[in-house]
Amino acid sequence: MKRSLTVGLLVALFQAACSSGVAGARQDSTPVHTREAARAEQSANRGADRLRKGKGEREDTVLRAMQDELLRSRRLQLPEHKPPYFVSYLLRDSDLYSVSASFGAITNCDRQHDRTLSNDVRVGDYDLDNSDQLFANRGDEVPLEDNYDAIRNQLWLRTDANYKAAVQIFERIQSILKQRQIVDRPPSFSRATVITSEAPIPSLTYQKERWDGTVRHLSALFRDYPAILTSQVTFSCRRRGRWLANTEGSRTRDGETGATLLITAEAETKDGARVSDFDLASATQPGGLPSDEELVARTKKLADRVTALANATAAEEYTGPVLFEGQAAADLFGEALVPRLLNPTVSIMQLAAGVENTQNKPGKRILPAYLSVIDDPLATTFAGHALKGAYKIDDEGVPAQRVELIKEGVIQTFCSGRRPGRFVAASNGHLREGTPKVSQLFITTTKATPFAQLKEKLIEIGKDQGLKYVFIVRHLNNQTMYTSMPIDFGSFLPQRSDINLTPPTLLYKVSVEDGHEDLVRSARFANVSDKILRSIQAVGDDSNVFSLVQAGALPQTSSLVTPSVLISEMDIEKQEGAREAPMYLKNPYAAKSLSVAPPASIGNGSGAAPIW
Amino acid sequence: MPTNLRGRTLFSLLVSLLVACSRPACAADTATSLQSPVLNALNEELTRSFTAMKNRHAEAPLYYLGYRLYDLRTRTLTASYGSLTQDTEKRNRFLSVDVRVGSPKLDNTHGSTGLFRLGRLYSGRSSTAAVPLDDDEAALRNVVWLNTDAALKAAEREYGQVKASKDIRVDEEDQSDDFAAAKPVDCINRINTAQPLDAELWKERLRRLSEIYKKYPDIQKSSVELVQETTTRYLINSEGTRIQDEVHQVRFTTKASSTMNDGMELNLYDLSHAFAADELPDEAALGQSIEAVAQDLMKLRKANVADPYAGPAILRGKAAAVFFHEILGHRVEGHRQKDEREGKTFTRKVNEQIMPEFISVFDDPTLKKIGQADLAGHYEIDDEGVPAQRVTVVENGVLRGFLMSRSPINKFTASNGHGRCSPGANPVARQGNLIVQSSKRVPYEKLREMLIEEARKQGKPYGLVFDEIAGGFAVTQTMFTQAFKLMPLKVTRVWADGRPDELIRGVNLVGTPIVSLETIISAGDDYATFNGICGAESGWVPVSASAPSLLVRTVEVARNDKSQTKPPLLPAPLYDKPTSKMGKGGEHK
Repeated sequence: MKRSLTVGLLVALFQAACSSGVAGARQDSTPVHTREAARAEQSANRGADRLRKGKGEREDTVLRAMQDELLRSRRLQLPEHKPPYFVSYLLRDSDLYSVSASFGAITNCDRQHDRTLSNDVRVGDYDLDNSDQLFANRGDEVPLEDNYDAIRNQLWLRTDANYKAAVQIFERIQSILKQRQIVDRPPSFSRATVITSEAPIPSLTYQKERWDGTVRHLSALFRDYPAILTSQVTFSCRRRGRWLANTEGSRTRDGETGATLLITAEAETKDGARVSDFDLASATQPGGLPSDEELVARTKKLADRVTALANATAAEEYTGPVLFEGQAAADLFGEALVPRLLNPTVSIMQLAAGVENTQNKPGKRILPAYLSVIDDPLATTFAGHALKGAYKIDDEGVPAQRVELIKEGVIQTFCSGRRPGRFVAASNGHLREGTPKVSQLFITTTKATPFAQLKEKLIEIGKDQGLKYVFIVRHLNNQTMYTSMPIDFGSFLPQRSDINLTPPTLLYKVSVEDGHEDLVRSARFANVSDKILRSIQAVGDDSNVFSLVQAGALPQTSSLVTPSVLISEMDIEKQEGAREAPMYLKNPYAAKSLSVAPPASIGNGSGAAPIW
Repeated sequence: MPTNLRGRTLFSLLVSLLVACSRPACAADTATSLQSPVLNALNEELTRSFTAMKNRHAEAPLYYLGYRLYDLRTRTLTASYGSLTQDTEKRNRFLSVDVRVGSPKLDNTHGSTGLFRLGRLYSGRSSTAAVPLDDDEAALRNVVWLNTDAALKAAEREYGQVKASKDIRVDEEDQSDDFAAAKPVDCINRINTAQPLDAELWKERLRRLSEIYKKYPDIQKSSVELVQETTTRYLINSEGTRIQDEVHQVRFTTKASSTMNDGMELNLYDLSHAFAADELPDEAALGQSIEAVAQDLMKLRKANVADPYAGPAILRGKAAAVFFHEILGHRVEGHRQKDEREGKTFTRKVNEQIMPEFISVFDDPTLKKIGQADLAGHYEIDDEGVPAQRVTVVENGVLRGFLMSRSPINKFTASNGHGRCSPGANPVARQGNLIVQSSKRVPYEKLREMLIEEARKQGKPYGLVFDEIAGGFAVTQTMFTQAFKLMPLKVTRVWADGRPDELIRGVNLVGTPIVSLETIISAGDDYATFNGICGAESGWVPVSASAPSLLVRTVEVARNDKSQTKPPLLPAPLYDKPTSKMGKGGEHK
């Protein structure tokens, strides 16, 4: 189960390493008329005019089909109901090649080309419409080819079905509002500038033989590590294209490419627990991935790491300071901070039930005063390192904007889409894959501690607290985020203050006496709440670019630039997981002769049979 | 486990997947030169594991170890409205490890049927690893090793539970053993025999064919699809069975639907199957079948909505075949006579009259054809490595036997080669080619007259004729109403007063098995075969059912579910008037 998800959802990582191919998006300031229909028609026509090309150049077939169905959609009307005031189409094209290997042989090889269509149909007006309902606007299968008639036919059927659904939902919302007194309800939808741009959609180019060979070769390296039970190497590359049009007149076409290489390994400890870790490389093109030599080295390093983990001692209960270095710091912010940076919205259902949570609001301090946070989708490099996750236009056709989210520890604003929240009414171009997301996050500080001194500080705090040892985390096993189910309940459930922080894979027990480090396994963080961000004691001067994985309709990787972080107090516990008796027989590759294991007791598979 | 429950209780026979199926006979061609590295790897690990583990545990001795590895290759091309909508090529290998500890009398599988066992390999253990697609023996053996270990540990746990529950539960009705003996079979066939599909040719052809539906403004959704499937199978067990074989299937399907003003969605389909893509009908013939579907759909649009009704009916060949598959076929699957949760409709009726004496029924997977019709349920050896046998189910109206896997039941202790499953699932007794015969046969015209006569006799204004059936399902378990439901596509009223026949829409055929079988009055001299894929706890398997038209004294029809959604508000884009400003919709002629 796990493996197939890993492979399948890797697909989604491409957002990650994707260079946005939008060529110079132009923006218009749209006049605000009171009559939506007139306005929509005007801008729709203008959008079309702009896309009409000079001699020889042909209009984009998909955009033309969208344009023509958008115009027709104004005639959609059920008796005694209004026609839609807003319709939009988002068509995505995804062309993917993915190959996985284990133990030197290919286990999965997949070329997949598909297109999905999202269609937003709104009745009512910007102040109150049908969009309150919580349902994922999942795309249907649509024609794979730029066939005008076939695409129009699909657009027509989808728009018709969605209009009928929209009318029904709008009726329900209006009846709720008649029954319940709801004051200061945020509007349903915000206006946005009209944008037109047309960038080429790149094609997918990769050398199949080469990458098939690479994953075979890398995965075969694990044959020399008998402690590792399962391992997998997956190469994927993807081309994505996007077409977007709405009745306000926005039209865009763009595309991106990405490539990743994911290596995972799992071993069994003497007491039957499982330990695992992974390594991920990503780039905008397959050619941008590390060289074979580097990949071999990284694979061996992972194998060594997991083998070491299998032989490490299990964690014990601990309360005290913890230093999050490098990638671990990025993961910590990814899980503890990112959810608080997204525009909190409230539905009418929630307002009616009185479950709105306004804990997260501008003006609230959530970090120490020497830390600020910026999200910048437009940045392309940091200190000479390429960033992943840049884009120019979001999935609602809104130009991406740099936003200062936290200034001197205090919330300023949120990453937003066009759905207004109580505090942020307009979009700043952060809606992607259905919900607002961070793009490229920069944690900056005015008080950096030299990296080398962080460990000293850690030990110092430990001494003050009378501890014999303290902890450093270098990697969290947030691979689960790659494989987690893409269901976003975030906006549905009341916000909770406890954080389910991913367990660490590389956790080191540091002696306060002499500073020497021992790897510890099977640990998890306990009792983590949003207070953890305020327990930051110091940050390093080692800011670097790390990958950030966000779950969502499609999980995405992007970049997070952060220094290492020292937390003054955290709880660590031993992670209790399912146990199995050790393998009865040796790995056939390693086994020189037959060996027979002594019997375990019946009906108790977790009996501790000895290793041989 | 609600999902399991669902899988266990609904047995659908869907025509949307029609299958041509031919397993090569074992032509004693067991040359080792044909044996693939896959079978070698399985053999190495089987020997290593069985030798090392059989005496490992005194209380739970391993007495049987088997590997089933299926290599499934599927090429799918779909087009709609002139454009491709799907173009996929998939390949998967599925490994199942069958472990039995204890003894054939009582082992770890006791009281569990396919689905229960299906779940166990994937529970508790995260190391169930992906099966290599490369024929790399080291990598294959590594995966076999991991899965064997997980399966053996699960089996030992299960056996502990079986023994514990034996002590606390009342004696079961059926005290049979858990595993029947079977002779080893050695049968190595040539593999990698699939003809590559000319994808570009088919893409063009499918684009053209799918455009036919553009002529019909009232057909909203339509598709044409070509699926080419190759299944290579490797079976090996500790009793000495070694099987390597391959099956090819190609099917062409077209579907169309139209939404009526009252919200009812009408669906029709057609399909053709063959062993290779070039054996399918040519493009002109496929085009005609698409036209026929479209025309029938237009006729159905004009049909009246049916009323609930109970009275006489003719089930024409294919409908009669599905009727028997559902009401008799699923109830004579051997393991259902044993499972304490099953209704056991016929368990104690062996040698009793269960239907009119002119009807006989048998299941014979060894048949490839009946008349001109291919039989999709053909195979030579089942998924437990047992050669398929013809089974007499009903002889002159008297129940004689059951379809048997290696799970024995009272008085039926051996497999008759009906243990079947889809790749990755565990075999249970399933149908192959179910064939209904009648010793009393009249020309169809006569049967029709008899229908009118019967309607008059019963004081009914009309009788019904069921032509085509999309599929159906039967519920066989005690905790549910043990009824069946068939979904007919074409139903005609035949008026007793001589008015012209009238097509009706929106009905389901419902009923309970025992009553339905007893009311068969007569059979036609025609014969029809329904090929399809049947789903039950061991997954989807290709089957066929063949029967003459049957006149039944009483059938009951109920209105089917109907959506309340209106048809599209606007006409199809191709049939809309050009819009005022932008309407340069002149791309389409």
